[in-house]
Amino acid sequence: MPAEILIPSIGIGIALLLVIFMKVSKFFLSPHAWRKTRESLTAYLYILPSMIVLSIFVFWPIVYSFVLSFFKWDFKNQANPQFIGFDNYTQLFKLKHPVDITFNVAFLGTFFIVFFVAYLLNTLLDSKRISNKNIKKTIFINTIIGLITFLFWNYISYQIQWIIFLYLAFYYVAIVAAKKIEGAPDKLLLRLIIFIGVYIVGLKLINIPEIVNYLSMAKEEADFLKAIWNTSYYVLLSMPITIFLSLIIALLFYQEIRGKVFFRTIYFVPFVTSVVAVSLVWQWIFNDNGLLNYFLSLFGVDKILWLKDEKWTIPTIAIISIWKLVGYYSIIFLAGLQNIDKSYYEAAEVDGATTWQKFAYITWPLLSPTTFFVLIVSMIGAFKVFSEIFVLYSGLPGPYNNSGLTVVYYVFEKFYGEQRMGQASAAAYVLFGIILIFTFIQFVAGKKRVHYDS
Amino acid sequence: MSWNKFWSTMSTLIVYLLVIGGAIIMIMPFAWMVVTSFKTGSEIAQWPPKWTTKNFKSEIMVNIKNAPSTSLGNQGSVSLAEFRAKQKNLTYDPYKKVISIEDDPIKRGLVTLDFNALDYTDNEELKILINKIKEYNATYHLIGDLVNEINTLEENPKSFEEFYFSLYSASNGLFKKSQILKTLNKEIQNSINYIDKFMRISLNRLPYLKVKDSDNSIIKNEKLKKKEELKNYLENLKSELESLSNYITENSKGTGIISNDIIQKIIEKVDSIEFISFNDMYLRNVNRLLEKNIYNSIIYNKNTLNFKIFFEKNFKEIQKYTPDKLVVKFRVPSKEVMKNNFLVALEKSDIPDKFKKTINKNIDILEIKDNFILNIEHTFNNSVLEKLNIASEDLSKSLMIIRTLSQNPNITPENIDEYLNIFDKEFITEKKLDKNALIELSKIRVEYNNILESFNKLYSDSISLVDLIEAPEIIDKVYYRNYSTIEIYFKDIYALWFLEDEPTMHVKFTTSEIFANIFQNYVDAWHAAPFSKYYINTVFMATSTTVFEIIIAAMAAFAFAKLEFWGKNFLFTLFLATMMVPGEVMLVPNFITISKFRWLDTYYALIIPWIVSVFAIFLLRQQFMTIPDDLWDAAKIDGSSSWRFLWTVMVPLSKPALITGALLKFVGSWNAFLWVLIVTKSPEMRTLAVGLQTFTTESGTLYNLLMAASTFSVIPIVILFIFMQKYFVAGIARSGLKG
Repeated sequence: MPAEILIPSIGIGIALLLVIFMKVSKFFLSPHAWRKTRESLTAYLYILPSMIVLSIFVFWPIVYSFVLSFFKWDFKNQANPQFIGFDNYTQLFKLKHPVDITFNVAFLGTFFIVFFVAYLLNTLLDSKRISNKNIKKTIFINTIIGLITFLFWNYISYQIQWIIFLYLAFYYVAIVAAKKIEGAPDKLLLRLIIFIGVYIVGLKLINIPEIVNYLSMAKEEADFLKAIWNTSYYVLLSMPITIFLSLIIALLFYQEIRGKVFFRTIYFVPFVTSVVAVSLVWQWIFNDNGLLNYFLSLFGVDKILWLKDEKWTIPTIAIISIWKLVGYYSIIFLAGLQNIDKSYYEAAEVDGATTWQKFAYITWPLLSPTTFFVLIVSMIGAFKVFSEIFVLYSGLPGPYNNSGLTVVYYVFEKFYGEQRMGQASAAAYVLFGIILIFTFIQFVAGKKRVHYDS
Repeated sequence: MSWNKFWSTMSTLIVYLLVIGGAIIMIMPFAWMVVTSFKTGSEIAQWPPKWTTKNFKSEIMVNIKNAPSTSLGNQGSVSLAEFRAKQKNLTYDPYKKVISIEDDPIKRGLVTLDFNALDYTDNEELKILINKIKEYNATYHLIGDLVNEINTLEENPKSFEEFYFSLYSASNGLFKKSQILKTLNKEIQNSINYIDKFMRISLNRLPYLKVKDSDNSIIKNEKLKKKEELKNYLENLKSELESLSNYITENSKGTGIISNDIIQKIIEKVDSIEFISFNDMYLRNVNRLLEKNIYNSIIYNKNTLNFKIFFEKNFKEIQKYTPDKLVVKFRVPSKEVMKNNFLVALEKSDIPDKFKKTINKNIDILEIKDNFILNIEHTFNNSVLEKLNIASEDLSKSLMIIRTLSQNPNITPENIDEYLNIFDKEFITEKKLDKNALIELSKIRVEYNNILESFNKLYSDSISLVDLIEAPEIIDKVYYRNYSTIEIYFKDIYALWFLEDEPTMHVKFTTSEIFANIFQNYVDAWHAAPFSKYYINTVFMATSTTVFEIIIAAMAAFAFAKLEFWGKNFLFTLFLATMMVPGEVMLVPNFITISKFRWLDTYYALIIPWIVSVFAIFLLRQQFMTIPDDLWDAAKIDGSSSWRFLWTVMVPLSKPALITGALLKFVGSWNAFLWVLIVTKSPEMRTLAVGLQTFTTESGTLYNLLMAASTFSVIPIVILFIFMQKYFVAGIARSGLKG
């Protein structure tokens, strides 16, 4: 029986069963219990259509995709998928040729620096937050150990590097787990600068191999790593600019200006128009003899081969998506701004606060739930970029060398182009995992930092 | 106080500037899209890009060029049969002048051709002209290329036309400025090089200048003096040649045929150079060397340049009649006019009635030809299948054999083998083809080819014959073919007399024609791909998805908002949790499901997976929660069913949320891309987004068409958005506030 008849039939069957059950139960239950049962059954009837469609097209695929990711299922053996455990996942990260440093070494180097900086920060900035004197002392000693190891990293044998790293890591995790460090960290920007500083020193002066370095080499050897690299680049490039611009636009709209609806329409139109049409227009603008190069030539900039040069692929896509999304996020920001109680501003004005102070001490903190939401949503959205690339490069992942290959493009390519269902599912689940992890991190970080208006 | 006021004004100004600047950046791509969609094909590659197009103008100049009357011109895409027919039609006609449009095709408007002159003379005088040319050739030395052309020149118009274009063709004519000057310059350089070499080496080795031991002092002095004289002369010559060469290099820029002014100047310069022929006994001997290596080539080139002036003067002088007027005016025939002309011509024609009847008179004139050709080929194929009694997979091979046979009229069953190759013979034996039937079919083929040929001529002539509004009397008729060539037929006057008369062309448009010009790309794009089908699909898909979604979401939202049931919180959390999962995770299994259901390439695949949206359920539930429970309780007491309550009370009360949900869904499915791309294979099932994407791969870099297609595919959504933006904004703001 064709599915288009079977599915409604099953639906009607279940509905009939529910109705029959409803009618029959009337004879066995007390009126009160029957009324309750009837309400439940009615509710189930109402949810039934959603439930059926969601089961087939959402719940089942989520499970099935997970199962598929452990099977070898490609065009060669479509009839009998065979269980291969984690092979699909390892296949994703497998390098075609080994690179200069191995993943383990890079992993070790990176995480060693992370823990070393953690100790360093604790010694430098957090002495107030640690009450136990012994722990304070140990942390200081560990910082010294870390510093010595850091400086003489390349003269220490691999095994000892591991031992020191594990010692530092376990000890730190232990004191954090035991909540020996109290309160929330302050001076976040300073901490970030120190971290980046130490990281660069480690990378450039001492040559500690680390993960970015590893990935930049490995991405040329494995398509999936390239996809992750490109996607991360795209996210890091487009997300901050989008959020910054949309916040500015929202702040502008928050002023009393005439023709607000008109301007809002203009800013928002890119979001509702189809990605395909929009990408085509931008393909035309990014053309070698296109409008953008013309504008740049007015400022004396030489022609940029936006669509032909590998290094411009991701920026090109980022420009399109920033243009497309700022209107959308600025409307969310605007809603957040309008939600802030005006009395705060009135009080601040009475106290003679400047515009900047009002922004820094009222608007920004009270807008943080919205910012937090936009951060998550825009990041998830950015991780899923696909259509722009597909249209911009006429069905290819970038002009050459897979320079526009993103994770979703990888999934599409594996599944639609090569018909490797198992690998495609595994890649999709890795994407899901990455999004989950980042959402989780932002959630945890946000919980501490976000101010909710009571 | 005024300070404060100043600052607040300034800050308002800055706010406005930023808002307006941002708005310009945001709207720029769309503006550029629309402007590009109005442009002509030649304008899209312009640098610097312009924000205007000539399609807005009511009168334009058109780039044209005289073309050989046997050139095929721009044909667009033609079928093989058509191409053959066209080649056959290219018989030379001495009364036909061809002007080709080197510009965007002109599809409508009032065309005016302004000739600066249309002089002519009696056809017999061609003989005189050719004689004069030959005489010139006999008198003067010319360069080899020109001599060849003159030697092959015969006393007939066709040969003369070929001769003319071999000299004056803008692409490779002998008198093309860059070409002739390059040749000349090369010769001069060779001469200079020769002088250098001569002075360096030969001068001291010439036997008659070499001072011998036996020479007495007078001879010795004489020789040395002569040597010095020769040296001075050559140095002088060299510097003069160098200045000539520089002059030529300076003037050889630019395209087109060399002008007589420059020729005159060059000749003057060459004439001012003294090419000395020595008379004395010593230097006499050097004359031959100098002539051979320096003088001759330069003088031949000079003569060649002079020939141009000579030829043009004589060509002009011989033409003694002038027509009454010099303007040709006609209107580009519209499709209706073309069709009428065609149908009238068809009635009069000798095409067999059985084929005349097959022509569908209601279809577009441009399709009639394709249909007719298809029809003939179809009829023929059928008769082949029938007469040879073969399976359809052997058809193409049989057709090839018949085509080979049809080229040889004298075939009989006895000598048939001589005309066939071994594979054909094997095929005939293997399939047991009747040789008589083959020959009969080849005769039919010839007959059909003749019909096709006459049809093509009839079609092409009837649709391109224009009604002349104004023309000199010497013009018989004018054809305007393929929007790209103009053919002028003269009344018993060789067209060759008008070879040098290059007109300027301009076209005037009425308001409605300007409008048609502007939207020409839209029409072309619409017909280039089945966009009407895409539109229907998209509207159907978006509408049905939205309607289903709203019904289903309202039901579920009602249950979650107003009813108590076992597992309510669990189910609601489960529903919401799915919003976390990226759609790409479900891509592969959903594709497998759809293909298991055999739903690939059907509307089911486009609609059913998307009729439930957890976001809409959530949105409506939040809305339903705000409606007081008292209403629901009252309804229950009044004995209303929950179903009726939902649709008569809840839904009308929640209109804004419903509209928001519906709009977001509608726009979402209108723009859906990845899923549609995956589950559709045939063009019949594509939506606008995917159709547009495939159109890009088909049309390549025709950005004016692409932008037109993009424009008409986004316009409905943009209009919808402009009128409904309140609800969009509400929906998006709401999604942010849940934070």
